[in-house]
Amino acid sequence: MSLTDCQDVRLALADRIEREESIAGDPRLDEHLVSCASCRAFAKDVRTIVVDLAELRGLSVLDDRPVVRLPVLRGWRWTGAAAAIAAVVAMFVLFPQGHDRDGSQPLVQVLTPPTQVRPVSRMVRLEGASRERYFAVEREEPTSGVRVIWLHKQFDATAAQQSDDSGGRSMALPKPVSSVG
Amino acid sequence: MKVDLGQHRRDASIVAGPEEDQAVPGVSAAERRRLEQLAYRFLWNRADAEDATQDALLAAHQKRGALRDGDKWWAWVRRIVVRRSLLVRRQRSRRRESGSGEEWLESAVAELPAEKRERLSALRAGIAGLSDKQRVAVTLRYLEQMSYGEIAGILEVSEATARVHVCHGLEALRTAMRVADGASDEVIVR
Repeated sequence: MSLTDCQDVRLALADRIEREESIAGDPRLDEHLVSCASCRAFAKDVRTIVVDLAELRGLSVLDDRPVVRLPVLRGWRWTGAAAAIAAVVAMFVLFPQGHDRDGSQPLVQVLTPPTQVRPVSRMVRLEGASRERYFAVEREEPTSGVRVIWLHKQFDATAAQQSDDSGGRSMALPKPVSSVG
Repeated sequence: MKVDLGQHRRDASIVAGPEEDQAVPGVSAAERRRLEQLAYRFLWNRADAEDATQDALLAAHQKRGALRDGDKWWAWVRRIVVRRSLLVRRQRSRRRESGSGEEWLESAVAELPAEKRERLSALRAGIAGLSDKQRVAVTLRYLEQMSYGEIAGILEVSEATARVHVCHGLEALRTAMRVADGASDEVIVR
């Protein structure tokens, strides 16, 4: 590699600085740096930036505090959840595919995914005004046969897979007219 | 399609946590955590990082049939997370949210000397001002400590090009830092 070009020199310098190697000792670099004040300044500045980036890395680590999910939503988030529920109900009423087989009305609950119900219908993705997102799955209680719409904050791949055939729908919810709390 | 997740775990040296992530079969809680961390490096906001990861896993699930080589699953998902994070950044910027929706860890930097704190703030602002490719390259290289090969895979460029993006990113950061210091007299070499 010819190191007469500043671009080549800086690539080589950045490599050496990253590896925490001395920039001296490479005759091709030395030769260029003697005559190029700009590349000397580059080496000095980049060394400082790389040190700062290492510090920034330490500051951008996610801690392990538990994630706040639906049951403790407050204020606008509750409004968003309520709007999402209303939209889900409206959608299933407007598009009752696989829904009115027994004429029963769907119940709506905001809960974490249970283990003893099986998904029977489609999945939708909703985004509320508060930017909370939900994945809704219509399910049927195996014992009672009651249809329930579950809103999941977490994407449920099993439910999605079983709902793929019926096709997904996505919709944006209108902004709520007022906030709660 | 059944994807073999074994190789990516070996590649990424991931030891799955004791509990599997129940929401996404095949993705351990530790892996989800790593993806959220990756998104957080771009977004600096926990909720946005979790949402971006969620969306990426949904997209990966929906497009799983397009992936022929199961060994590349991890790199593929990470690429989706990075793209999704950039998209969220752009959406956030378009909405002009106050504070850009970012959480600057004031408590984490509070004990640092004022000069250092300002430098790190300027550096973070400098990263935010880079072009997408430079930001991805610099973030993955220095905050995620990825190899150039991994960065090249995510950017879908050659390794040499990934190096050039990193170098140009450093150059641009240097200019941004000098501007922040009020000492912008350097000619940028491209």
